[in-house]
Amino acid sequence: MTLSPRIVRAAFSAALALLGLAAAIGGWGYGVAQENGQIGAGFLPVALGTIIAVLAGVDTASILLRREPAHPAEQLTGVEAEADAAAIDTVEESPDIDALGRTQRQRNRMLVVVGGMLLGALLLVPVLGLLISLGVLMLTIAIVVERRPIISSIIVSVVAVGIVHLIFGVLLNVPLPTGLIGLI
Amino acid sequence: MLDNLILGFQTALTLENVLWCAVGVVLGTVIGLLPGLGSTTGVAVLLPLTFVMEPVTALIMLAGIYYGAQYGGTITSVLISTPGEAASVVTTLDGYQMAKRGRAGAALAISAIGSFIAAIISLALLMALAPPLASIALEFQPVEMFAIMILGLVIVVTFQGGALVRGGLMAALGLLVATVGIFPGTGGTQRFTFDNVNLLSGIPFVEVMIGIFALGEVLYQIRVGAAKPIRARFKDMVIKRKDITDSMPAILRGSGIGFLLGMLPGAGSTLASFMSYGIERRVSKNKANFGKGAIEGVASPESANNAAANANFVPTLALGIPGGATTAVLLGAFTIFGIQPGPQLFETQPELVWGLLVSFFIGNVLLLVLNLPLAPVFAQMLRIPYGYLYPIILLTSLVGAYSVGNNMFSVWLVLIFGVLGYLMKELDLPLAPFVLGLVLGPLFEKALVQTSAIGQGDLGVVFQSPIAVGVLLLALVMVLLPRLVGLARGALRRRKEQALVG
Repeated sequence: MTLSPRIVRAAFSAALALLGLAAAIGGWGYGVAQENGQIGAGFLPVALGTIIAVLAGVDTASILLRREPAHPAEQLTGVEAEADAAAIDTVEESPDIDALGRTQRQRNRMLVVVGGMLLGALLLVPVLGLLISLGVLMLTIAIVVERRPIISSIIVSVVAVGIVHLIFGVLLNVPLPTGLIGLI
Repeated sequence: MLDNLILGFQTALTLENVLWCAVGVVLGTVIGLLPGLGSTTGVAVLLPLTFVMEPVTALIMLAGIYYGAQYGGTITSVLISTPGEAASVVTTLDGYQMAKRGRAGAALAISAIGSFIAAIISLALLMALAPPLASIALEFQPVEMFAIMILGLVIVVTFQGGALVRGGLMAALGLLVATVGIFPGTGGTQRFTFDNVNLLSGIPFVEVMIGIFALGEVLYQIRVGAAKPIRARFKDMVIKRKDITDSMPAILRGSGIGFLLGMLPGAGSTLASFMSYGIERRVSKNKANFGKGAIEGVASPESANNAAANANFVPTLALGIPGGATTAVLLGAFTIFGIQPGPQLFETQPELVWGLLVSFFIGNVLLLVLNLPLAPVFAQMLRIPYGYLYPIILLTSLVGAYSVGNNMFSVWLVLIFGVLGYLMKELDLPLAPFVLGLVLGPLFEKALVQTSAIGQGDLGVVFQSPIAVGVLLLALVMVLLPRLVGLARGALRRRKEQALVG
């Protein structure tokens, strides 16, 4: 089951409305005004939280009440529509398939995989260190996700990590975390 | 003025500054042309590298990235119809059509020439207008500054191209994120820190920018997918004299429009390029060819976005209010270097300000020299598979973020704001109001606290200042004008339709 973009957008706006409410309530606890009548620490959070809650609420309602257009191009006019048409023109065969022949479904899967790998790499930093974790991430993305040749992927990853180590670790003296293995 | 210019040349023409200016413009061109990277991303990611430099050198290099990216963004617009910069979106219309007809070189050359002319005109205007504006702004009290910041936010919300509600929502969200940390008024209350010491000084700006513009863009590009480039060859670079003479009125008009719009706090280069293209399409002798490969359709928006990029520095330097997203990041860089941007800058740091302004001249000369013959060479960068490119962007962004505070907290922040940035792009929520809100947040609250103190708790004191009232009225006009124009157009259209039916 896939959620329609309209529902995702409405859900995001609704989440922002809740965030606004939470900020306003939290801000109230800091005090909206001081004893001398001047604004307190909570004034701006309350004001902004309320504005966010109202605007996000309006946005959510307008998304849910709006009729979904038959084609996205209906929403565009003038120069914007022409720019959009020019962009679509680059994908001559099908708007769903990119220049590398990947479908939208494949690209969505890639996005989830890369996001997961990124999270995994950051969780591995205390063990492998920052540079090695990110180097492994680079290599894995290049080989597994992007299906690039193994040798060139290794060369690109090693050279990139080497240059970054040289710039940040050696030239700028940034104490990069080396993790349990303590290499670089 | 002459003394200041001499001081500027003395500062900018040191070997070190010229070298870093050249590095900045070359990096900017490369960053601008690579899909998924823009000037804001480039400045945010490379900012940590400049911490070891002198402030003036660092700012010269970062500014070089900014206007270099304007040139680079054009290359992708013309060759793959994928703008490297939002300001180059409109260039895709005629630029890509020219490329498909084998005139990619002419499109890139006129863009470089137009951008150069616009840059020189706008720099002369910037140098003439920013100092007097700063002198006037020196008289401003917190009340007036508070009103000007509201105007800046209103302009960016109004002109960002989407619905007013969503623009306002994003600006408010940016301001709210900026409230995290210690309250700037009396008492020093901690807000939304959740007992995390890393949040005491607020959510760090550089990490947020890297998250939104680097990681967020990478995730978005993965979902959007790759486009097929058109190759640019050296022999195609030849531009005819007629092309230049035909384009000159468009270049001059674009420069003027770009400068006027770029000078407004909060209005960016993107708006300037769209407006300029729209006007050119109405007034040009060649209007029938617009959208089919008209060279004026490339010259006009490219001149406008370059002029606007320079004009963005008028409010940034004179008022301390950024003109757009990238100047907002640059404004953050000023504060990281311990420099308070604003009207005092011209008096307290003349060497820095005039050195920076003169470096724009040097940078634009370098860009013209580089871009006219070397655009096809730069274009070869487009052949680097994105599958190699984005892991490198992830590596440099995350290590760069770590180096800002030397802790993993920065890296996790990048991840959080990267996801937020991706969602904002995916859901078509405007980024510029969020960034401006985030940058202006601390200044805005400080002005609010001071205004409250002046009025002894009564914020109505704002309405006792004629300047503040004028500025707030202007903000109101900015909000209402597009709606009133829309209503008037609708009424006119309905009347025409009724007349036709009748």
